[in-house]
Amino acid sequence: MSRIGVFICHCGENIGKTVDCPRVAESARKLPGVVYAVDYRYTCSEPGQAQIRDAIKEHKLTGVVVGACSPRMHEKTFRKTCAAAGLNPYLCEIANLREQCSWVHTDREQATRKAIDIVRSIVARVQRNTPLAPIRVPLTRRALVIGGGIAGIQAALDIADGGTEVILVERTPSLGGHMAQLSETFPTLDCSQCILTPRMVEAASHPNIRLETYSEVEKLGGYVGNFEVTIRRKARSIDPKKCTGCGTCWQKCPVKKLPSEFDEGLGLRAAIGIPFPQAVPNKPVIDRANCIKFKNGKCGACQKLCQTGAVDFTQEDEIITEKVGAIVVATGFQVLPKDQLPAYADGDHPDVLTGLQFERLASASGPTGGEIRRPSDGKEPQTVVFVQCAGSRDREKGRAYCSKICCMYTAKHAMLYRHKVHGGRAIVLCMDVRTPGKGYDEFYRRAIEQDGVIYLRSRAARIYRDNGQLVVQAADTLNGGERLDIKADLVVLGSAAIPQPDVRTLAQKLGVGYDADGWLSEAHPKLRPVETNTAGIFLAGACQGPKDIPDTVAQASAAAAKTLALFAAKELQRDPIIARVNRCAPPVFSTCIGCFTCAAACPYKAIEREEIRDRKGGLIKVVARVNESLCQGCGTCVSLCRSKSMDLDGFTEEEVFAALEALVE
Amino acid sequence: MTTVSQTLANLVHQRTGTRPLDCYQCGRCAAGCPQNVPGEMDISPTRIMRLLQGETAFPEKAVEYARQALTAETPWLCAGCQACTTRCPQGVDIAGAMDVLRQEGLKRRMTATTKRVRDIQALHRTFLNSALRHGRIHELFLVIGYKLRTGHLFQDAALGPAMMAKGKLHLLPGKSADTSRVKTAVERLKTP
Amino acid sequence: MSGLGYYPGCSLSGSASEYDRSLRAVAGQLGVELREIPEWVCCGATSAHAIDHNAALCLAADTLAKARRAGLTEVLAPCAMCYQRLAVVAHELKQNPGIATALDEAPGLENIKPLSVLAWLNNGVSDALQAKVTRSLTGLKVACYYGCLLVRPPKITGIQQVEAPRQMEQLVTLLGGQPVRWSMATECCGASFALSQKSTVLRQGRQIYDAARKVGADVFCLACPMCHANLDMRQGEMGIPAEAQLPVIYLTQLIGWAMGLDATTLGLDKHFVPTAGAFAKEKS
Repeated sequence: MSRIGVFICHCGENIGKTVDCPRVAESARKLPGVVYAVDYRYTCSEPGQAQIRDAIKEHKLTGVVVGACSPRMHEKTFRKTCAAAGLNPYLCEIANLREQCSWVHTDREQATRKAIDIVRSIVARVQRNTPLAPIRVPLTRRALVIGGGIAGIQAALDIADGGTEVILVERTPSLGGHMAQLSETFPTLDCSQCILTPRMVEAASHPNIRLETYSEVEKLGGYVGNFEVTIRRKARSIDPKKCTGCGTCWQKCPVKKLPSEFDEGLGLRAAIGIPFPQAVPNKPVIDRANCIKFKNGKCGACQKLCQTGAVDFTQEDEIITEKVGAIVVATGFQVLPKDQLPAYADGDHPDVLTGLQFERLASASGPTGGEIRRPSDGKEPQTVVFVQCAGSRDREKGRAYCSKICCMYTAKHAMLYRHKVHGGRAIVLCMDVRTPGKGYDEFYRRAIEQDGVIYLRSRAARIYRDNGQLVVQAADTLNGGERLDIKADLVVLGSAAIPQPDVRTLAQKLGVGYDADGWLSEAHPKLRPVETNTAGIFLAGACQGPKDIPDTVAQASAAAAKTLALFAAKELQRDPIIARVNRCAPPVFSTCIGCFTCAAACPYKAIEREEIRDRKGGLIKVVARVNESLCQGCGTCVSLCRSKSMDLDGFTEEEVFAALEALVE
Repeated sequence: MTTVSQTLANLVHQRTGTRPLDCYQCGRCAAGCPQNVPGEMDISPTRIMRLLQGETAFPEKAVEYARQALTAETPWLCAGCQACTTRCPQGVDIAGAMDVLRQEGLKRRMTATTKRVRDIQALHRTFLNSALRHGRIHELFLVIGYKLRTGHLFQDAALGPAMMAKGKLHLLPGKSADTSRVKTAVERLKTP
Repeated sequence: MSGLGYYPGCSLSGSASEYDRSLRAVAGQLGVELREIPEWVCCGATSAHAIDHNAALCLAADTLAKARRAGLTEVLAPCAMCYQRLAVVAHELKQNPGIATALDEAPGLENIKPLSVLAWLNNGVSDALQAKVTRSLTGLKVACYYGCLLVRPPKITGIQQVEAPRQMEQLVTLLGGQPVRWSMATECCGASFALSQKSTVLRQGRQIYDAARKVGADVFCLACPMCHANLDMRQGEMGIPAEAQLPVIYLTQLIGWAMGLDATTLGLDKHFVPTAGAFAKEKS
């Protein structure tokens, strides 16, 4: 005869206000098999848990029912409590009296009666529970980091410093990401490249980091601790072992007038080359779409001139597969292209720049060597208008969110402009200025108070060309909304941060969630900000939402800590809630008839074939078998099995039916 | 006697399906409005939205805020070009709100009373009466009707003969059309 | 092809008769039969929606009802104002079935689709149009002027590129003309104040003129009778000397001319700013 203990939690007023908890406990005491029942204000508190532990010992309980909140909240807590008192944790079940009862009802009498029913049902179930043991899963101590911007570099370095091997995949030819493009960084105005490039070199030379640049993740299989990732190494058309990075090829390449991606179209590049002088690795790539050799077979100048014979036009993409135990996704963001804003000079004016374009203009390594000269005619602009919220906070255009970084980078832009063009006028159009962060508001005030930047509280209605002159339509909303049409020599947009255009494809490959805007979803916005809902996959940086460099680096280190914590275990454990094919005595062996309907339906490819043979090795029958490490316990196979040969540990037919029957009594 | 039971913001919501409360005062409507220039609108469209928000937020000042919005020249000087409605990041139908302010101002007999606003009102009345009576607008009659209402007898006097010479102004009215159904329907909609 | 509903509206029956004539001539060339809605009524224009919400709804809804009774499903409304009013009310009819009820009409009026002249020319007949072009407008620099109501608001007109529309430019290019890029293509001309608030129309008109002039336009091309009246009749009042004035030509006149129709058929002689000069240029 079973000896069940029932513990009814008031959850403060959450349950206690609507459900008469003492009455529920009292009625539980009368149920067959129940030897102990009690109610308590907070069962999850230490004294509450002690109550359970003591009762298990004192009353020699064989099962525990906790009537409390959802099992999603505290099932783990109470199972641990039971284990501490020597009871198999899978003999503890939760009766959900909060989400499924007190929170959704107002009538105290009816709610109490329902609570009594729920408890009776779970008591009936727990009497049929069997002890289970967690499944042990081996672990590959090796991490994959996707994305080689500052987030990916930081995460990779931290994991590698923790003594773990890292594969760092970057889809462009070089590490660096957007941070390599920036001029100076707020709020300290230190040079972006000066602080970034040493870290790029460090990542490339770290003994625990293997770089895979110009490569992309094609496919992901497996599960936490045991992922199998397929990576496509795109053909560089260069043998990196032979190449010395001397630069002859890109100096001699006859195709020189291609818009440079690194310079955001403000500078030019050849059809072969490295994206920027400090690129890591310092090995060129041939842009096959624009290379004459690939277009019509002629040229080949780079190959002829290469002293080491590193140019290889026949190179092909290479597919490799790697085993990793954890993944950090650090794929970053993009800046809203200006052609998405047709109200602003039809979206194609050379002197209307995105925020990132202005970074290149202000950068010492940029196309003008850091001088502020406008793209159309190379003149120094005397009035520059900075237009904030260019694409952000525009619900009507489907982008309601704040891009977070623009207020600060615009203050920086205006400040840099005033430093470089002393007599120039810098006017910032903004709705409000958002500068939470250490030293941030002081920085923005400095732009106004020391550097003479003018802030005008207005959104720009439209920017138009008036015979070559750019005019920005604005209004002074702090002065009654008086209209101001400002003649500008250059316009810089506080361009919205947007998700990578193909992020949804990647998210689906990895099996992680994303929100309506396309930002990758964290498991919990406050308490699990770097984890995804897929175990073993973590997030770092702006792929999760717009973020500045300090926040990005902090999150990257957090993701690295999560990865290292996962790897600190000897092996992984998981809940033994898995399907099982029954076995019985010969000559039947199993009621399974080997139809494999289950195998076709299993979403996790966890069903295998098992051949039952006699002693001489002769085949008796073929039955299904469940791979314990692949099965996720969804139960699809159980419901489909025609011969009723499958069952789900922890949710057996017997347990579930017992619970249901108790309800209809 | 008209009783004021509805806030203007609520009326705008009912008529346009959009809420002045959603306005975050970015000023984009004011910035792109062709009539929000010196010598024309007395209150910017952005501020009109703010008055409608104040009317809801501060009941103790609701009457005053509503009065300011209704007696501004702004609703009457709005050209109805829809630039504001088109560009509003919050999707507020600002041009539609101007319609509501004009209609409500007339209903409550609370509008600006400057000469130009009276002229504009006179034109609208002449036009609408003519449309409802004859079904179609006869331009010469419209002009004459408007001039009689306002006393602007000689404004644009030179245009008339020139238009006539080009065959653009007809002395005799063209076809009219039956509007009895329209008039009945308008009456029916008035009494809910 | 036959049986496109036609709603000329008051202006095309009066001062904008050349728009009506040129449009009918072009339709004839394209083999499109225009069926005028019997007993159509005024759309109410700005005045109705400014002062009487219900009248504005009922006037336009009545015309849609008359179109339905005549068996029409699509109604071409060449006047930008008429088009916008019909489109707004068709949209309103979806949310507010009471309007049809008040008119003793069965539901479904909103399914009568108002067509702007741009939508008609671009989607329906542009291939046929191209085949009919006999006189190229080569070298003619055209400032395509949309004004406000032809494209706005996008929720009603369904036009996505509302800040930089290109439909008229496409048609002008098809005729061999050279559309200019200019800044005032969708700015309001203030025409609803033509009688009551002249300062607005003169100021807006002058800005529109200056912008077109600066980029070297030879003519304005437009599709709204109020914009036309404003820009064609008042350039003198705007202080523009006769020799600097720009002809203001309806899109349908431009098309008709490219099809080889003569000036009188198209009503090109009815303008205040003479149009002959513009078309003379194209021959050189």
